[in-house]
Amino acid sequence: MDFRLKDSRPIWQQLAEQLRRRIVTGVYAPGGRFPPVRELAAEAGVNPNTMQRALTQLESEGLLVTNRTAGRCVTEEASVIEGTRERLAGELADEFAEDMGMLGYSRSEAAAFLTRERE
Amino acid sequence: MVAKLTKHELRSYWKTFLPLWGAMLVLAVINGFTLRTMQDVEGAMGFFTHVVPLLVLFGMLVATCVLTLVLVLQRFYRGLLGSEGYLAFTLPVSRRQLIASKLISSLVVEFLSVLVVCLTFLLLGLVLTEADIFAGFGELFTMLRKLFAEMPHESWMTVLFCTEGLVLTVVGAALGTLHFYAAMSLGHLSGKYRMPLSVVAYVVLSVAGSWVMTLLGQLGVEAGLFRHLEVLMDSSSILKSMTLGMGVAILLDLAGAVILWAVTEYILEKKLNLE
Amino acid sequence: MYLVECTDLRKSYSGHPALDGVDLRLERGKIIALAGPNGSGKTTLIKILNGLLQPDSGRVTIDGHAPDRYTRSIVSYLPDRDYFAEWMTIRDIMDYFADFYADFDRQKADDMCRTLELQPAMKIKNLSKGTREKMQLMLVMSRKASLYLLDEPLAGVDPAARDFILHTILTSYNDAGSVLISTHLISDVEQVLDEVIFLKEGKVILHENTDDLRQRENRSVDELFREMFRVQSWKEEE
Repeated sequence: MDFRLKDSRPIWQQLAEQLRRRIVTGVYAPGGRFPPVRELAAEAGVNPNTMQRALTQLESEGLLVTNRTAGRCVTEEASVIEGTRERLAGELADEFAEDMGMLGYSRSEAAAFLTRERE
Repeated sequence: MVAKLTKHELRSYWKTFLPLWGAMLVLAVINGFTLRTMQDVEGAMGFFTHVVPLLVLFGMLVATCVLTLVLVLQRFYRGLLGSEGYLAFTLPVSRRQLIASKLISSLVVEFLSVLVVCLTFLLLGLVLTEADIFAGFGELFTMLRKLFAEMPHESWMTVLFCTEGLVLTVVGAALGTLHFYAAMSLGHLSGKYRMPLSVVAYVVLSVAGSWVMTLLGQLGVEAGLFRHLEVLMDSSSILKSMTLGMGVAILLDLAGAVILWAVTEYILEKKLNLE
Repeated sequence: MYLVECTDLRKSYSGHPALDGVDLRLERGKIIALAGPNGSGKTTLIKILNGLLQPDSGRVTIDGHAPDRYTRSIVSYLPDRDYFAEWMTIRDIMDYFADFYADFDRQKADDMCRTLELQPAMKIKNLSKGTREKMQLMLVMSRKASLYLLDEPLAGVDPAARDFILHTILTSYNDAGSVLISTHLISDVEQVLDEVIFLKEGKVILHENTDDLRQRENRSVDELFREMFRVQSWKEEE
């Protein structure tokens, strides 16, 4: 699994985005143990401090919790994960709508594109 | 720390010298055998069996002397003022310890070289003359025992004198080596002309050294030092006066060595500028 | 207390100022790049930090001490050149490090040798340039030092070796220490940095957290560097 990172944006933000995605898609199972910072940082080829910043962000969103016995884990609360999934989907939708708007399509026209049959 | 540093210094010397010294000693024995049959020699054959081994041995003797000097200088120049300096000067050791290890290992190598050269001649002579060393040593010991019994004072004075001689040799060698170290360090102060400046510094230090000696000598005469010494020395004890003279020589050489060390250490501590 | 503190540090070579009043404070646990074009004073600063050079004026402390024997024992230095004796084998230099540095992790060094497929009996001078550089890095990172000073660790190194070097730096430095990488090739190391220092004509003109910098300037650190120094990165030259 590769992290694709660009240097022109804060790296911790990109890491947070990609990790968020992984949690939402179940790559890291709910309630499951989360890999330690150093391991993730080495995998991504980034500084542990940078990775830590990303993880702190995810903790503040409630996606990661620190269990006294088990250490850092993905949250078990399905509502949080669902909520995040919806939020990400909403962002994608808004992005799509905006891009389509620049092509001259209204929001409902853009929606039609999604539901029509592709030849 | 100095012991560790010296150990590593010597390791780099052994690689060159042990084979050379070993070969020299072996050749000494060979020459001892070949030269025994000097009389039965004829023409060209004689050249190969007698002259060539001798020439090779002689060549090795010269090589030892030259190599000793060259390697001692090289170990300092490359080891401290060259690329290796990046390693040496970032070790958790003081400049003083670095200089000490270089000096000690140099002295060890210098002395061993001299020793091996002497051994070479000894071996050559022993094999050649088929002398019986044990008998020789036996005679020597009996003679010494007699001397000590009959003239104890003079004998012990001679022992002292010989010990002083040994100390003077060590201090003298140290002085000579530090002379080179200080010259190279002074040369290092220049940016572009390090080699030439080192040579100049060497000469200047030599001249300055003999200058100081002459000056001290003159001061000594002025202060009537020598008159006092004359009183101490009576004609019945040439030995005593020589011993005293040796003592003074040792002190002077020691002072010179300390000064040269101080110069070297100061430059390496405060004025280091590796490329 | 800061790991490294420089106050108004100055050093000149024959009238030309290499460091013209450097003020710097480095914390522990960070990977920091010291960036600047050639001649900006990077090497001079590094040499002062590891005790190879004396400053003309100003103060510099590492862990509260002026550069001395103690600081040399907690600083691990990777120069941009070879510093071995001709005759040394890999085992020789490892023995050497183990002998003089109490913080040298021989086990780690042996492991890294195996990873690099190096035989301990090999003579260093017979190794290829790239292998020698990896080996020198391995020695430096096998120490549990407080400050790692890496002078141009990626210069003239092929991309595969580059990744290896960056990975080694990331995984072997200890969190109680810091890594200071002197470089003029920022794009290669950007991702692993916590902070970056821009050095121009002997002065520090910038010292910031890299992500904060990216956020504020909306660009990569490399782009900002090229703009501030109007230097072409070698990627552009291709």
